[in-house]
Amino acid sequence: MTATLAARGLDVDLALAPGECVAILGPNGAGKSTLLSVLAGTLRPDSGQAVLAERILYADVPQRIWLPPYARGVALLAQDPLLFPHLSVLDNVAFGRRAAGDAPRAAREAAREWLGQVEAAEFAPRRPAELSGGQAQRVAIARALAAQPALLLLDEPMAALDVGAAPMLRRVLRRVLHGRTALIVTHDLLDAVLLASRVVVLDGGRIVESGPTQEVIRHPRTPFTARIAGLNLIEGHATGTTHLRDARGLEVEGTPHTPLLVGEPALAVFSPTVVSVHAERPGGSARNAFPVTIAELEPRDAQVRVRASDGHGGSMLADVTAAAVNELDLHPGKAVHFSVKATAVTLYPG
Amino acid sequence: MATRIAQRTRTDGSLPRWVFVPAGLGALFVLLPLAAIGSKVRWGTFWSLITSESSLAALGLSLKTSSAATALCLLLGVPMALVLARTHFPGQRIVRSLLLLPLVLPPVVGGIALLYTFGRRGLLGHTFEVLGLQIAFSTTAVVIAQTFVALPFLVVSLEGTLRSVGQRYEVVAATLGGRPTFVFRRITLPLVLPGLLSGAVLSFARALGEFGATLTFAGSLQGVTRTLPLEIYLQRESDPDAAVALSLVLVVVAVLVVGFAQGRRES
Amino acid sequence: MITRQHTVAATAAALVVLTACGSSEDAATTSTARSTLTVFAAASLKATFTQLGASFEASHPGVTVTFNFAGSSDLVTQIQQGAPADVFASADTKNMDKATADSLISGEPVPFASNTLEIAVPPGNPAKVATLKDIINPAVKLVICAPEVPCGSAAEKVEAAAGLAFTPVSEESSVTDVLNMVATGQADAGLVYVTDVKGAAGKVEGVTLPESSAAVNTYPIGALAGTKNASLAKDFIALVTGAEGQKVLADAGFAKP
Repeated sequence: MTATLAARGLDVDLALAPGECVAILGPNGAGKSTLLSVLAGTLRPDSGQAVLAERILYADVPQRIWLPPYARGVALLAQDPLLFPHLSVLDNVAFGRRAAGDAPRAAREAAREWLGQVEAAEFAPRRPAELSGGQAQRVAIARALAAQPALLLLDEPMAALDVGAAPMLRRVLRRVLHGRTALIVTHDLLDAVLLASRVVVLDGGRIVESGPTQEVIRHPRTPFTARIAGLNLIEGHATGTTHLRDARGLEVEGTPHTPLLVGEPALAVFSPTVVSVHAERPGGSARNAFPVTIAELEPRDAQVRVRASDGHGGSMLADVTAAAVNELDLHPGKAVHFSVKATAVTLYPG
Repeated sequence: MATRIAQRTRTDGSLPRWVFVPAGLGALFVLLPLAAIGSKVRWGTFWSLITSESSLAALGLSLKTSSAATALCLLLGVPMALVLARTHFPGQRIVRSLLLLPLVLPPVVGGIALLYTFGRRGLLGHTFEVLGLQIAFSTTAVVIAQTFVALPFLVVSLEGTLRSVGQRYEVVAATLGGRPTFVFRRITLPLVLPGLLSGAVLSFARALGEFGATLTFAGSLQGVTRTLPLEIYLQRESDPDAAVALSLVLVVVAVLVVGFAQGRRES
Repeated sequence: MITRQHTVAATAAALVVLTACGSSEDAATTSTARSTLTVFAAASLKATFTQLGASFEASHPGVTVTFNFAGSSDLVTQIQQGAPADVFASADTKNMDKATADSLISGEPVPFASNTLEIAVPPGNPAKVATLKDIINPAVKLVICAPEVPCGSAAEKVEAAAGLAFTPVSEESSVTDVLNMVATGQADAGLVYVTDVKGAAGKVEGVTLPESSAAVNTYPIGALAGTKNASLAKDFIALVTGAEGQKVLADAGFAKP
């Protein structure tokens, strides 16, 4: 598909292989929901075209074509399950088949099967109002799948659920999304890792990163992706084969992943786990030292994640032990130094 | 008795207490005239008066025509409300204001307008008469007059409900493959049913009480065009007791209709 | 606290009602400088009585004559419910009898005019109506008054006298409505008063009815027992029954009582 929508600043070019699940990440307002709406048919793009299973969803050349939502075979699942309140759970799930013209009994049988797939079979006779958020979302998935869509779109399906309900939904999704062409918009890296084979990062209405999930996570190319992946990222220009300087003059030494050319844009990535925190600027060769101010401390299992601002609007993460926090008397507002070995920093062309 | 009612009234304490005074006055304002009618009824002759030939004819005609008018209102009003609530076209506000005009128009003016349209020398009436269709002085004319005044009630009521219910469910239904008519039948209609019913009840009640337009447009003939309000108007000339008795009948019928609809809604 | 507010509200409401009553009563109380004479008259007397009212005001400086023109039975009902009137002129004796039966009239009512029926047809007489027999033709759309009103009971009498059976398409509650229906062409023929046809000259044509003598409506006039302007009322009645009044009435088409 391609699509532009000037009103929302969208300009994308995207292709999915059959049976592929792609995760769409991006900051708020990046255009993720707009993209899904264009595909579902609830928004008209200014230009572009999309083809799904040999069916043209919309096009502008050689003539304007626009297929209404009910003819597209695209099912949309949002944060709000939006189960039809006046129908039972079973009739909700059977809706797609009935709309396609199936007889009530056949539709209901198919519905029961799908309810079983999402582990919600026992809710069949109930009303949507009687379900919890997680249960309703599972039923909504069954309803979307029972309609036998060629493409499934999921818009942050777990966002409105409480933490306890998410794992079950994730498990269900992993099972039903297997081999199904789907796009899932998410904020949670875990979803991207568990459910998608490919990740696309949308920012400002444009695709800024795209690639297999593991690759994008290990080698993020944008600060946003890095933040999601829980990595530290510094953008700049290569000043040597192993050195990078960012826009503010900060020098970073690292180990190149692929050979760098002097002057070309480059990225430096390192994990919070290899960052040490010092009260004073540490000496020692082959060490990068960054003066930072602590912004917040976040306990994570046995460790504490320290988020600090580098004084230029960027932030940096470091994982330290609780003991270290006590020893160094770390608290928000304190000025410290983050240091990381050059061997722990990966450099690659940006 | 007032203190007993006060003791059994339940509020959650957030309603300002003084609200009850104007509310009570308003209720009295509506109920006292009804009680006044009831007090003037001569109960001895009541039954014979309301079961007289002319009374029964008028009552039967009223119920028949009001039902037909309500059905017509539903047929025309539901699509109108859908278009007003769910589409956008230039000049929509003006069109909506014009469509609601029968609400503010004095019914007699409405009758005159209908006369100029469907009357023998009217815009369409002339053509109808040539074709052999007699509308003037017929029961059809009564139904037309009642539909004309009752239609806005249904449209307004339903449009409000449609707007508040929103289109989210219809959008979802469409992505599941539901064609517009299928979605309308299985999603839209069931969701707006309460608003639709209350609009239909309002229309029925309005049609039942319609007088001015019917008198001007359809004429007054027993069994054909003389509905209950027209019968009451006529009886006033010669037999006020009959007029009072019939008025009470009209009030009771109206209360039954509204009460029935409320009961359904609450269930 | 509720009781006090309640009292205040109730008092306020009562004050509003009283002032409204008061302003309408002002009209009836007489001061020697300005008086108002309230005349309730049948609708068919509108043109003639308005003219006589102006003449009365001219001859009685300081006196204003206000009229209430409506159906005779409507007027009787209003008078029975206590509406302030000084003079009552009815379109038939039946309604006046109702008033006298309730002791609302002082003395004996005086007949001052009579009216007979005529067939009114739209200009051009599209249905070619010439006699009473023509209007019983089902193809002719006939509109008459309902029997409950004076012009309707007169129509009934005409019907009986001629030995015919009318099949009207509508029976109206007021003769004005019948007239309108004929004037606008909705009806092919209508039974109205001679005075109505004369008053609507140009809008309808008249077809004289020899059988109309079977049903003559006599118009009586009387002063109300509760009037506060007894002498003015007597003067007005004298005007109506006197030479000037009778001439005005005759010009309009009324016959002698």
